[in-house]
Amino acid sequence: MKGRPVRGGVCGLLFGLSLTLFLLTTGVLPLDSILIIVLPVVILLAGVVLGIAAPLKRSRLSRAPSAGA
Amino acid sequence: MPRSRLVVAALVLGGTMALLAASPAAADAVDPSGACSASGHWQDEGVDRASADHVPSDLIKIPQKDTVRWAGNIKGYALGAEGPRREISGEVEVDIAGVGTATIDDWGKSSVRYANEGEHDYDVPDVLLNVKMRLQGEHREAPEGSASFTRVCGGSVYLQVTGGMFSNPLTIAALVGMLASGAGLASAGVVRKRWAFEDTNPG
Repeated sequence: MKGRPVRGGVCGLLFGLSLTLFLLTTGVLPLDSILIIVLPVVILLAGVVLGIAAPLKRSRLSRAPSAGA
Repeated sequence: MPRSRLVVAALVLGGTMALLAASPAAADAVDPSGACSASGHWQDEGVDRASADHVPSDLIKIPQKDTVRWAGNIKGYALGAEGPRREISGEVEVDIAGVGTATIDDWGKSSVRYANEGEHDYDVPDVLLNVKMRLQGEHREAPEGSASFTRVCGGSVYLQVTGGMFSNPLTIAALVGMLASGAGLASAGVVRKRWAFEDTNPG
């Protein structure tokens, strides 16, 4: 486990809920669509996977100084 | 007083009204076709809408605030017509995610009226602007004193209260939420910092 799966799950759920709300209030997604439930769950799971896989590297500025420096 | 809002007629949506129903025409928002009909005149907007002009997949866009003069009847009855007293039952609902419904209006008891009309003022709250909702309704009847209701007609249509892109405050809230949680989501995918002993104890 290289990243933060719990943070990924929580933020994924919040992102999914926000995205669903945005799509609802802009009329893209109708209120009777099952995607209202599916979308937050899928993005929650994607967040967990993102946290486990951690494909993003730290920026150079936030890296620890090397031992030889 | 028995509510004789016959048919799938005036739909109250958080103080709003919309229409559902049927007519003998080919296009019909009601099932079975022609069993009931409803129509409305949006007075400020100056637009007439009728169930005969729509099918269930249609999206009806209405203004946020208006006064609607509406009428509804069961097939074969003119406005003001009366018939044998019978038990009536029905409701208008909003479909939520295909797994639940929220009842907007319902009716019941007994009535001799088979057609009705009225006027309804509505002012939809900002939080419902632009939301595309599927309204569905059904009207049932039973012989007087009986509880064995049979379905007379039902119908559905999509309804959207028009507004500007950001006129719904929830749109702004959703954007802020997406930005904040999106940043958190991105940070969750960054490799966790693991300091080596030498990093904290140089030399």
